[in-house]
Amino acid sequence: MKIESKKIGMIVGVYFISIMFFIQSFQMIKDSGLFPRFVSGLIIFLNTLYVIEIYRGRDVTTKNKKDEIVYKKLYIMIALSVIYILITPFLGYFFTTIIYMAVSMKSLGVENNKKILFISIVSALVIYLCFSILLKVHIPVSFLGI
Amino acid sequence: MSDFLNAVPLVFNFGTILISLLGVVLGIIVGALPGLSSTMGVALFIPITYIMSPSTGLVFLGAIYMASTYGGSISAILLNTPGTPSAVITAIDGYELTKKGQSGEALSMATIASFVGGIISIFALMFISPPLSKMVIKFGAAEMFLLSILGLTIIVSLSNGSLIKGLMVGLLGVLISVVGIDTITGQYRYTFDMLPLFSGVSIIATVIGVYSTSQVFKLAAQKRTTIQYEYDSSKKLKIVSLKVVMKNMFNFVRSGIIGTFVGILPGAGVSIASALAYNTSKSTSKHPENYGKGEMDGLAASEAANNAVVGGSLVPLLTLGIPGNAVSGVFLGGLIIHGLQPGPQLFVKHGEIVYSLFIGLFITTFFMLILGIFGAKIFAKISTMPTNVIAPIIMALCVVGAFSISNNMFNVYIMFAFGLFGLLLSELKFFQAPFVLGLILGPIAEQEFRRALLISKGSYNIFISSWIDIVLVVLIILSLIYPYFQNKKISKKNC
Repeated sequence: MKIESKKIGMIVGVYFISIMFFIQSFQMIKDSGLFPRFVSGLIIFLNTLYVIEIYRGRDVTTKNKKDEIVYKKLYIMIALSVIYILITPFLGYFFTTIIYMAVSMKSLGVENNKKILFISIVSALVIYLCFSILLKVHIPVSFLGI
Repeated sequence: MSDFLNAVPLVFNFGTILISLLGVVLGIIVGALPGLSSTMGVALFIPITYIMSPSTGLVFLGAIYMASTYGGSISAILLNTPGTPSAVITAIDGYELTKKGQSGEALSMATIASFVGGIISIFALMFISPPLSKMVIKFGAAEMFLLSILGLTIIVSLSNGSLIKGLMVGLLGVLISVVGIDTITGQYRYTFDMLPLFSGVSIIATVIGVYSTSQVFKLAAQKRTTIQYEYDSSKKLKIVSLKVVMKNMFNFVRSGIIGTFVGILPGAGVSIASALAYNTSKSTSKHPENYGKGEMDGLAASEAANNAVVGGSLVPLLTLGIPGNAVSGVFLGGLIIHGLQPGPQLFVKHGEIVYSLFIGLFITTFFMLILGIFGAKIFAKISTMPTNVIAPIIMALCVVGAFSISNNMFNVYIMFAFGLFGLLLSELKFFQAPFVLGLILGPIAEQEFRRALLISKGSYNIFISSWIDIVLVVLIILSLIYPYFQNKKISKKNC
C-alpha cells in the first residue's frame, strides 16, 4: 500500500471516529459528554491541520533504509495472526501456539524443519508452564483441558 | 532504633534472603512479560505469603513489586515491547540503543538507574515518611488535575517532527480512554451495548497492541535479519562504562526524587513520574536533539523515576493507610492478611515488621542490581537472534498476556486491533508514546478536573487557589514553551 493511501486512510479514520464521538457526546446526561466533546472537537481541528500540512507537502515521511519492510511478509504475518487468535478459543492456547509458530517461522523463511519444530514446541511449553503453572494465570484451553 | 535492630534478624536469615531473591527473579519475569503488570504480580503471589511469617511475606511482596517495575524495561529496551505501561518512556531511547547494537549498555544503565531510584525512594520511605505524607493531604483534585496535565505536556517535547501529529495522537489516546462507565455520573459512554466495554478499553491490552503486536509485524516483515542494524558476531556485548554512570549521577538523583514524590501522590502513577523525569532530563540536557534517537540520559531518567515510585507509593500506604497507586492498593491486602493495619499506629504496634520491609527492599534492590548487571549481556543476546524466530514468540506472549487481563478473548481482539493501529502510526511516523500517555493520563485529568469543579461549585479559581497550583501552572507553561525555544536553539546550532 502506498504511503499516500495510508495517510488518507488515517485521516478518514480519525475524522470518522472523532465526529462519531463528538455527535454522541450530545446524547449524554449532565456533564458526561463535555470532556469527550472537547477532546473530539480538538482532534477534528488537528486532523484538519494535518490535511493542510500534507497538502502543502510539509508532512514528509522519509524512511530509514535500514528499517525497510517486505510487504508480502507483513500481510502473511497479519493473516496468520488473525487465524491464530480466531482458532485459539477452540483448539486451546497450547496446540494453536505450536501450529502458529511453526507455520509463521516457515513462512518467514526459517528453513530447518527440525529447528522450527523444536523452537515451536519448547517455546509454547515454556510459555504455558510459566503462565499456567508458575504464575497461575488462566490461558485459553481446548476440550482436552490444555 | 530498637525496632530497626529487632528487624535485622527477621531479614538477615537464610530463608528470608532466599525468598527475597526468588521474589526478584519472579518480579523480573512478571515485569518483562507483556500483559503482566506489577499489580497482577503482587496480587498473584499474595496467597503464597499465607505460609510465610509477616516479615518474610512482606519482603517477598516488596521484592516482586520492585523487580517487576524494573523488569518492564528489559523487553522495552530489547524488543520495543514494554512489559508494563510504565516502561513506555524507557522504550523511546532504549530500543533505539538496541538497534545501534548498544543493548548491553542500555540494559545495564537501566539496571543502575533503577537501583539508584529504588534506593532513593527507600531512604525517603525510612526517614522522611511523616512530613511527606502530610504533603500528600495538600494535593486535592485541582492539584492532581494540574499534575496530570504536566505529565501530558511531555507530548509537546516528544513531538519533535510535528507538533500537530504528536498532539493528535495523544488526544486520540485520551478519547479512547473515555470509553466505559463515567465514574462520576454513571453514564455509559461509547460502549455500544458491549459488556466488555463497560469497564473501558483495557490500557494493558492497548499498550500490548500499540507496542508489542505492531512490533511483531515490523520484526516479521523487516529486511534485516536481527533487531540490531549491523550485527557482528565477533564483537562482544558491552555494559555501560563507569564514566557514563558517573556522568548521570545527578540525573539519577533528580529523577529518583521526582519519582519518589510522584509515587507518594495517590493516583498519579508511574507514567507521570517517568514522563516528568524524561522531560526534565531533556530540558536540561546539552544535547536535547539526541533524545528519542538513543540517548542514554533519557533512558536513565525514565528508569530511575520508575523504580523510585515503588518506595514513594508505600509512604502514604504505611503512614496514612492510603494506597498511592493500584499496586500499593494490592499491597494493602497483603498487609491486612498478615494482621497489619496500615496507618500511624503501624509503626508503634509493628515497628519491627515495617523496618524488616524497609531492609528487605534494600536487599531487593541489591539483588536486582547484581542480576541485572550480570544478566545484561545474556538478555542482550535477544537483540542478535533472528527476527523470523522472535516475532512469532512475541505474538504468542502478546496473546496470553492480553487474555490474562480478564480471562477473555475480547482483550486479545482489542490488542490485535491496536496492533494494526500501532503499525499504521509507525508507518506514518507518528510517535506511539503520546497515544499511550493520553490513554493513561486522560482519565486522571478528566476525573480530577470534574471533581475539582464539583468541590468549587463550578469556579475555575480552584486551579490557582494554592501555592502548589501556581507552581504547577508555571511548570506547565514552561513545559509547553521551553521545547519551542530549545528547538530554535538547536536549529541555530545546526546552521
